[in-house]
Amino acid sequence: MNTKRNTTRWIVSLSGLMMLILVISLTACQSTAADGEMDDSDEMGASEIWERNCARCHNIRSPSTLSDKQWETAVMHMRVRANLTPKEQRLILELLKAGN
Amino acid sequence: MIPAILMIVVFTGSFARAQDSVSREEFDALKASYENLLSRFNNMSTDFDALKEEGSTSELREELEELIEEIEQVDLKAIAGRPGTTGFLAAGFATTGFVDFDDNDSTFGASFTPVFLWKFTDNLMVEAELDLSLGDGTTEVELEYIQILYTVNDYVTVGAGKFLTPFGMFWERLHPSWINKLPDAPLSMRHTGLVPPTTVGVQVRGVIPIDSMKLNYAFFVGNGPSLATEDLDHLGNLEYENFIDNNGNKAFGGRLGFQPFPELEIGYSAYFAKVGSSGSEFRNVDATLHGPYLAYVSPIPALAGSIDVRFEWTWSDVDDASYDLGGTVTPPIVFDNRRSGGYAQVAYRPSLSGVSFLEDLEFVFRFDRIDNAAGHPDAIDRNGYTVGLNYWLEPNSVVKLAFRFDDPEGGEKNDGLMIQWTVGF
Ligand code: HEC
Repeated sequence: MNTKRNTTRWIVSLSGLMMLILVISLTACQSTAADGEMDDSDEMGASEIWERNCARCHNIRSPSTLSDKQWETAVMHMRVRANLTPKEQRLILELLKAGN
Repeated sequence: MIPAILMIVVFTGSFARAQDSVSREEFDALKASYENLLSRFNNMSTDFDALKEEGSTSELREELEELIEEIEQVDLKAIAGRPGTTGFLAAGFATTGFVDFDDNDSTFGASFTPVFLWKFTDNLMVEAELDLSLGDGTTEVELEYIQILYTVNDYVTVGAGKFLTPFGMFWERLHPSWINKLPDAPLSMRHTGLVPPTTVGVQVRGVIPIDSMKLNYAFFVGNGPSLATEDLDHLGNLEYENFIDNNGNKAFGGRLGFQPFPELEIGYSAYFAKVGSSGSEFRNVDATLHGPYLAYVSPIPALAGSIDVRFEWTWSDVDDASYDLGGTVTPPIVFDNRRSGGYAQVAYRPSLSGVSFLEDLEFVFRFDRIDNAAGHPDAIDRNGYTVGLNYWLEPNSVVKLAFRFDDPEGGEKNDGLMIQWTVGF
């Protein structure tokens, strides 16, 4: 029993650690890849805010799938779920409305 | 000489005049016909002007009237169909599938999970989700959540009702079948698992931007779980369908999440509750749950695709108690009621490979585990290794094929094949 538990603790810590290492190395490899493309400004544009914030949990849906009014409701729903700041909410909504 | 010249001039002049001149009669006749023509022309041109004027204005007027009538009708229709200020969206998901596990006959299944959203103002909304699934000879309906949300200011939103517990990330962010990358939930996240799927109560939540980073928080109070004291299989487990509180003590907890950049979130959740029914010998039993989570989702050009990494672990510690199952067991069962469990999942989708078939495929691997209380009479620790292959028909529709390799520490193995087709809307 005890050895089993120890093995488990081991597997769990190891998989946690592996995840962390994976994430850190992916982040590092991503930021070096992105460095070349990035412009000087740190400010993200609306489409970058949309792509980076709305693909975290599920695939991005095309702006054309909903009407302006429907997007207003969906984005308000996502503001809470996805912890958007009011500014992100406004920019994303504007982008979705312009693109549908 | 002079008279001769004059003669010549007069002669030639009169000769010339004799050539050009018309008689009075001829002149009068010509004049008359000219005047006749002139008056006819004048008449014609007035007729023409009148005709022109009359014709075009009446046509124009007709067209204008038609147009006005059309506009009035469109206007009426527009007024009749005026959307009102309330925004409404019917969303949700449909799930169909086939499962074949060792411990049960294979079966097809289907469920329908509508989500209704109302946005009343920029601050006030209501969200509701029903879960309609097929039971044994019946259709089961569950009120998965119903929450009124009010945004107090840029940093604070208050929610009340039955809501997905802001503890970890699975229930609130990943449980819909069109989002979950595997057909089933990890062991710790099942309805009989470690984490409370929903809470009936009140929550306060929000997000605080720090430069380009974000800190999100959620705190809640609710009915909390009840303690299973009668059923040997689940003895000492927390039961979350405690919709009408079994005691006056409320559970409380919260979650803090940190996002250094949008693709990464690391967080921790905690939950405290008194779980025994009031008046019972278990009334002082306390439970504590806590655990970390991590999510990293990003396209990685070097891997020609996007990667989705998730890790979530929960520890549950319930005060020891002695369970005699209503006096039927002597001596009473006593055990160290500590449990834990969670999952680690990695998914890879070659979305940047440039090959359209590959771009829609996704490979998933998940390790999940539940570590039950040592000394519990009927609890087996379990590991699971699930591999999945998904094909995305649309961004909101996926066909999943997965195989779960069960690894119980004692007892029977329960491997299984799962196929699922889902659409989110
Ligand atoms: C933290 C995770 C998360 C993030 C980030 C996220 N979503 Fe969602 N989204 C969800 C979940 C979970 C649902 C399903 C809600 C349910 O069924 O309870 C959903 C549902 C939706 C729906 C269906 C309609 C609805 O509101 O249920 C749309 C549309 C949508 N999201 C758009 C977006 C957009 C746009 C963004 C970016 C602002 C976004 N999502 C970011 C988790 C997320």
